[in-house]
Amino acid sequence: MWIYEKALQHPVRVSRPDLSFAKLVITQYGGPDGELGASLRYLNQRYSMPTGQAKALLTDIGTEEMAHMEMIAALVYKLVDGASPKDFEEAGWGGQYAQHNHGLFWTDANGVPWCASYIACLGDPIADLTEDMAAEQKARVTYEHLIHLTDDPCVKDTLRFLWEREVVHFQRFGEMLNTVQEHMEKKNMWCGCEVEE
Amino acid sequence: MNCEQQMRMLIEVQEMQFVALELNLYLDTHPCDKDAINDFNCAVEMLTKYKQAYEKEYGPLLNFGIGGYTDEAWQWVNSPWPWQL
Amino acid sequence: MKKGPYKTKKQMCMPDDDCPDMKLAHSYVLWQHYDNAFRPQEALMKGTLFPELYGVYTLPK
Repeated sequence: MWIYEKALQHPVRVSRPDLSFAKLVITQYGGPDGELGASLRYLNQRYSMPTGQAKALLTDIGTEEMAHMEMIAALVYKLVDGASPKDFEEAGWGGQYAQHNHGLFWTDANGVPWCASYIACLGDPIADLTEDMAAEQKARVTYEHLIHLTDDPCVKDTLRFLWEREVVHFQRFGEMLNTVQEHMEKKNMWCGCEVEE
Repeated sequence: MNCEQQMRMLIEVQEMQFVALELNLYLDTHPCDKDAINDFNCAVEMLTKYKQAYEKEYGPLLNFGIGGYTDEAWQWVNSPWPWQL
Repeated sequence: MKKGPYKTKKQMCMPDDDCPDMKLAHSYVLWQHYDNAFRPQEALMKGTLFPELYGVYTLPK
């Protein structure tokens, strides 16, 4: 069951509208290494995790990623604030206006729509947690790219916050992998049997 | 509506909420860490105060009854919403 | 036969061979231990409560 808290996790501010950058940062909304994918990956994998701790961590980080998706949405909302159709065209984002006006949608920086192939769930905790760690690294690197692509200090602050969250998540998933591997060793999981806690 | 005051009260909520969240994730992988448990509970105490103060001025942060009773006016529908602040 | 470019055990950073809890073909991270915390204001700004998790990767400018 999900409850929504009516506040962003971290403030989102822009110095000025910037459609060219909005077109790039949207990749963290609906791209391969973005927050939607992260959230759905973790919230889906949690059902087949072997321990309560793993279920808890995936639920919690998956939920936090939803909050991050909201921050990216807020960022795009502010970056396109007041833009005319001509502004969109000049920024090379005419297609976005044509299909969505000032609305948001889940695509990458090239307009490719979000796809479930971006995520996986093997039902094997080692494979799944390893994928999660890889995902956090890819997200971290993408935020580095985006920070390099903007001069706006307010935008950089928001993206640096999200960048650091990926580092912390990597640590947590790594710790959970440590624990799960130890757990499976004790329960002789090599045979792939279902485990009691 | 004093926007500056709202932002000031909101950031207090966001800061303490973040402390609680960070400790929550830490405790998921370190469930026996007593220091973290104590600090989490301290954060919750502060967070509850900051949230109550904020909600008194600017309306509910939570819906579906999780945030408690409503006033005569149904404030949940009020703007600004978070991406507008 | 010339041996490969192996370094001595002192120079390499790797788990001891007799470390009982680690296995080949498995990955691990170091355990974090909670000793210090940033103030809430600094924590939110930096994106973590924990000083030991800040700066482990070079901050992007």
